[in-house]
Amino acid sequence: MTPLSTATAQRVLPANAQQSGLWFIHQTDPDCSAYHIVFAAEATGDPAVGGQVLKILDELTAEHEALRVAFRPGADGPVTVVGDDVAVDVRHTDARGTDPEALRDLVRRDTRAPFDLAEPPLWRVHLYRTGEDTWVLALVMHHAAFDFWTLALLLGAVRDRLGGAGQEPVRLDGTAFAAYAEQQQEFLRSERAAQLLEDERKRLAGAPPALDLYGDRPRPPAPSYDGGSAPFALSAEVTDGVRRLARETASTPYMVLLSAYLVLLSRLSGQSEVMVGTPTSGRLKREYRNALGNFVNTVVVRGEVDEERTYRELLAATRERALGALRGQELPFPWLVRELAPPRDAARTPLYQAGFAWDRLPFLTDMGDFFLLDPGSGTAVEIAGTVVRPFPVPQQEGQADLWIEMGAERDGAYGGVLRYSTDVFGPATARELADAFVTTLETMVAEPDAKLRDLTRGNARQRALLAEWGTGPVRELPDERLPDLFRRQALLTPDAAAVVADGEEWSYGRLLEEAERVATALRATGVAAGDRVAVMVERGTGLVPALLGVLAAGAAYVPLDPKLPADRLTYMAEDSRAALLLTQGDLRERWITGLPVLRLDDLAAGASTPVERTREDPAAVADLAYVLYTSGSTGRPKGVAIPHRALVNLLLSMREETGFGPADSLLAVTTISFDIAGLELFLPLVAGGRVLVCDSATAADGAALAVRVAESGATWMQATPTSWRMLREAGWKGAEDLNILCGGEELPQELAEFLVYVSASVRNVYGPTETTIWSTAGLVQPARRIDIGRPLANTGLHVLDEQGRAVEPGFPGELWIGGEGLALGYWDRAELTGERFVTGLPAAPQTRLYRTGDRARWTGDGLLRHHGRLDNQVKLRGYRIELAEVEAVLQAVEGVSTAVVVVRDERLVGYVVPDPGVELKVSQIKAAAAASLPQYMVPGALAILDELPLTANKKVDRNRLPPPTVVSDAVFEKPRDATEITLARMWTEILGIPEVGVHDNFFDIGGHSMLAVRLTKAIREEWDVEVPLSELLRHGTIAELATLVRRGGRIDARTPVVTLREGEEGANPLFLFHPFGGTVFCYVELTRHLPPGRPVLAIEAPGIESDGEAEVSVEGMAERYLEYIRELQPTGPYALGGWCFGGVIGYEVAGLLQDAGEEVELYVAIDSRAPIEENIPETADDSTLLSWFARDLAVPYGKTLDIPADHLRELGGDAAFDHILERAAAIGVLAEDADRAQILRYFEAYLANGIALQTYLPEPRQLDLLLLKAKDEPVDYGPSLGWDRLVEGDLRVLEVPGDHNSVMYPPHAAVAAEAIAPHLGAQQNDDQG
Amino acid sequence: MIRAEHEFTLPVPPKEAFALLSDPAKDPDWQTACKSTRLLNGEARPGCQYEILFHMVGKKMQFTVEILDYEPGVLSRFKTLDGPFGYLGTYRYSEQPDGTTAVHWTFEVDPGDYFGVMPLSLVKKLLISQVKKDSGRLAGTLAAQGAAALA
Repeated sequence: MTPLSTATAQRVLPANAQQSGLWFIHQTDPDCSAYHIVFAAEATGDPAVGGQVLKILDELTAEHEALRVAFRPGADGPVTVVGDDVAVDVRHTDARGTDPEALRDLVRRDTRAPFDLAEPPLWRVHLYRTGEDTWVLALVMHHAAFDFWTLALLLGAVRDRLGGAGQEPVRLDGTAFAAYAEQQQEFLRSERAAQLLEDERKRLAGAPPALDLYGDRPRPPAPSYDGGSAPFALSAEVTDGVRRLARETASTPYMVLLSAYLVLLSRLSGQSEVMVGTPTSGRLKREYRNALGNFVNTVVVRGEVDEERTYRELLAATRERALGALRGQELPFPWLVRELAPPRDAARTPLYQAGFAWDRLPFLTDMGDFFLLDPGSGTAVEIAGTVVRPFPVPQQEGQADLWIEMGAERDGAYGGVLRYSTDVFGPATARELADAFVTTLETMVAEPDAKLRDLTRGNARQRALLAEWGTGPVRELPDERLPDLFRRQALLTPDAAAVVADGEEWSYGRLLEEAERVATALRATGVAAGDRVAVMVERGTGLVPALLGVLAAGAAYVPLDPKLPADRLTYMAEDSRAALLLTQGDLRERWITGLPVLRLDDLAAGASTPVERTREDPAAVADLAYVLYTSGSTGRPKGVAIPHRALVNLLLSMREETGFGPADSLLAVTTISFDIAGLELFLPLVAGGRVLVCDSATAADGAALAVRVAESGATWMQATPTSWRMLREAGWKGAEDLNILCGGEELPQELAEFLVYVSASVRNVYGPTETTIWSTAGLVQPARRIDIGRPLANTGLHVLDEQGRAVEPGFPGELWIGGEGLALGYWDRAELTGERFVTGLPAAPQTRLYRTGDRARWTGDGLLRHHGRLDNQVKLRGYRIELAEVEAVLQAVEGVSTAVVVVRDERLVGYVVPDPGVELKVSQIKAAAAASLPQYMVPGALAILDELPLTANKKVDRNRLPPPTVVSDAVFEKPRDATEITLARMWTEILGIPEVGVHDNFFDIGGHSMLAVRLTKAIREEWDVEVPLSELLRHGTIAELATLVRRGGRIDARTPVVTLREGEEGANPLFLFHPFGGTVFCYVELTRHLPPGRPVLAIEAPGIESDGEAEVSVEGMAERYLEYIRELQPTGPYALGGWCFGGVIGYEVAGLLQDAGEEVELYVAIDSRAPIEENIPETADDSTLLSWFARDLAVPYGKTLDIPADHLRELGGDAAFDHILERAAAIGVLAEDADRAQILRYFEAYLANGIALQTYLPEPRQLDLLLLKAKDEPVDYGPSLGWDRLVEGDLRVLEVPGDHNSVMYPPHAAVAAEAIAPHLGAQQNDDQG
Repeated sequence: MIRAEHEFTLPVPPKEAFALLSDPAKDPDWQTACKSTRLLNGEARPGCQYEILFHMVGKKMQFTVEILDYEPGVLSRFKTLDGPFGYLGTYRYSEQPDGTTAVHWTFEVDPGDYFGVMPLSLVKKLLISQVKKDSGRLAGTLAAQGAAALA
């Protein structure tokens, strides 16, 4: 590298738009190596050739400016700087004896070392000596300066010169890049460019804002530009097929391949419409053919995939769409993004997130497969007696989520590489995606006239893999039912403890006895096999024999939790046509009217009324174990009919999975109306262990439950994540012997990590009621993202697409479950059963499968990830949002215990429950969320709740979440202090819009990369604070930026002059003085409406920003402010004034100017009361001023904050001040990050101004005054507010609408500006004239 | 404790300046904040006591003050005996080459929490500002009177 500072003369040239775009990316991430173009080769021959190569490179560098460029920031982005004397950057490494793999790693690492784009050359050579006559050469070029074509031209030139022919067949052009940039700039101002832009605008209108890929990892808020590569190769047969299809459809191989890629992306994202970026050489004119530089441009193909169409039809459409995209190829992509200003997401590249490159060079053809990642082993060329072989180095990874590059061939067959962002995918999944691309292409090329929906997905290897992953252990089930298994266990260990509840312990023998007593009593009432018996029993020892007794009697139980509403209980009993209610006398009030009752506490009494049995389809009830009611979409619960075989399969499988044994005990906490209670009550009994039945009051009380867990000595407990969180919130510290089953809801990562840390083991279990309690289980490993585990025994998992085809690993689909766990169906709902329990799907034609409605995906390494509910897909402003992902991030915020996110009124609303004793701030949670989530996933509104509403099953009841009461959406808010005002002014100037709110995002309202550069420059100039572009992308609001600025630099040292409007150069400013409050944000609205051209500068009270600077006399202020004014405008005529106290300061300043013989062109006072004795309030002590201070804080927000001075006087000192702060914060009139010290400075300035006003009694002067009087002000200070006592010149009073405060705010400020405007016009006209 | 000081010039000889500034009976004539004074035990001299009433920043403050030193044309010192807070004031006079008088005013005051949330730094600035303004105005008046006499 040759520092430009030491290089000799430099030329400064424009950079083209593509270069600017890449430069901008580099600014956001200076370590980014995603745009390094690499060529590497292994050479064997005379070592002197290496020296010759370097010499040639030296010569070429000296000859061609393009090889000596670097970039520097300019006014609107980068400029190209050309050094005259730039040495080639050659880095030698002695790699003799280095292991080949280690060498490969070394080369890969070296070629990724970042460039400093400000220092030439932006390319370098790495030479590795690997033997006496062998070496590896790697040429690295930064794409901002060069393109792949340039690299090939350079290689060609070196080769030609080495060949000694003396003449280059291609004459390199090292200067054309500058002409190109100039021509481009001119072109972009042309009519043709405008027309093309309009066409592009139409073509891309309504395009999806993002390609939502289901990835292995949660997407970070900003891309890391890290990536990986997965090479692939097509067979010669498929390559021929591609060429043939291209010929038949008058398209190109590129279009054939692109079509297949569109299918891949559509299936991967679940979107029919996908945007693909595709590079073009950009060398549209012949004169650029041999030019060195970066000319590549990217166009965006708007693809659409319809599985009902054929590949040939898709290809025809893609051809048209690709040609449509190419029509706009003269428009540089970064410029297009800027002009179109699509919705931006800092986490993704704009407009497209997947790319397809077709790189085929018209020269250097014998080195085509040198550019493959997987070249043929025999590939070699001889140059000057040296044998050169490919040395593939992965490169340009992480530019986009997915990128396929093709064009090179090996043995006549196309090869390629799939590059992926490691922000989204892991290597195993990427490998599967590459395979899927090849297979998809093969399949479609083989049957181009078949509908896409009818083609098989995946290859044989993938299908075998899916079958392996999706099939649980095959175990033979005993021909026994649960009561039989229990009886066997009871006979084996009759004295062992079986159930413990209410301080009572029953042995297996006792439990068997009780269960059989129940069964006998049921039979005696006439209950028979297939009957349903409603069981409503308090949690206690009696519960288990009741359920077992029903099963032993051959009947099926319908569990009824007595705590459920009576209507719901009645419905379940009636819908299931229960023959009898098995219950307890204590629950008499909950008994169901009309249903015969058998009391557990008085079995001998028999049924209360005769049991009437209903006639049922024998098949429907033959193996029925229980009917469990779950919520239905219609609002009426639906019964799920579970057979004995499924229950037995679950219990035995979980016994196997958990290793539950006789020494184990399980604390059962779940209501019997939730199917998972079955596992708690029965698993221990088929394993010889103990069931510890927890009463419902304890189960619902975190603290009590924590005690029970500890005292019980339980080795197992099962609960939902909500219940585990409840325990944690109650201070539960865990139990080292406790094994945990967690299921029923998404398991958040942070909760999983907590549980793993405090327990013996954690298993995430997953399964719908319809497949009997659980279908998968997996040990949670904290270092790994949560997955839902492996299938249980005799269970099959299938991830299928809409057509019922198995999707390839890495692809999302709907999870279907088959096997022994399947329910018989929905009780009495044949139609619904037919919809959800399906046989005959293409993936498993002979198998009955249950459709879960859950989206799932196998990762490349065989983990099953759950991606939320299909029917609960959230899409906002075009973005698909995983609510669980947002919830996980909110829950990870310090102090947050639980979080739920829902969509209300087209926006995300987050509900957050704080940890006990923690006070959360909405702003704090939002800031934390914004640090981890893309902007569109940050909830627009957040509500902090004491607790979340729960269903009876201890799941969060989303339907009962209240409307959010704390809303922090980006509603329009005005700037609140000088920093925000200045930033707002910069934004309006840079973005060319009339006004911005402090919560508007720069990129949402028209900002783009180049404007961001201007903004950071403006910030640097104003405050000497560096705001990196990457920070601007992430903290894009004025409020956030102001915080950065305040933290960052010399803000305390700046002058108190705030530029409200830059105005035209040379025009004299209007100086406005601060009012009583000391800040000048009151003038923002006025400035907007003042005539353009004239700079507007406001002077705030120095004490506002600097401690101890408050000035207590108007005379002192005037002297000081005049110094600032004189610095900016040394001589008159002067225009000045202000609102309220600002007008009073103006009087003194105008007087001083007059004394100095200067002309005062305009002195305006806006509803300022004259500083005369009569206008001084008598009781303006510190408490009164503090009361006014509070009132004035609220005024700009249209809010009221009236705190009586007497009250403040009573509180006194700091307490009074703190009271003000609390009240102001409560109504949201203080900046979120405003600190006490700052507000204290504000108040000190306010006090000082109050003192100054009270002690300023000037003499009359021969001045002219334009007085704007607020005509709606109720307090009467006379027709001229007393100014007739002071102004001896022309006193013109204009009445304007509004009261003293509202006169400066919309809509009245516009009228005030109108009134002032004519008095500023003369100056402007003079200037213009 | 606040210690405030200020030096200013009056366009009259020291004795004349002394007669204007160090006589409590004349305080209301030139101090904007001073509303009245009442001598309690005879004319100004060491040991003279007087009551003085100020109106300042919305507060009315009455003090009983005793003159400690009283050297015409040279020095006067006075100290509160009673009032909302205590202070000790000094005027030192020195003749300038042009016959005018340089007055060095010092004021030591301990207002405690009398001024509530108002920081003591502001109180100090207020005191200085007030003396500066009042003395400036007085100087202007004296100069005008002098000019009128000359005319």
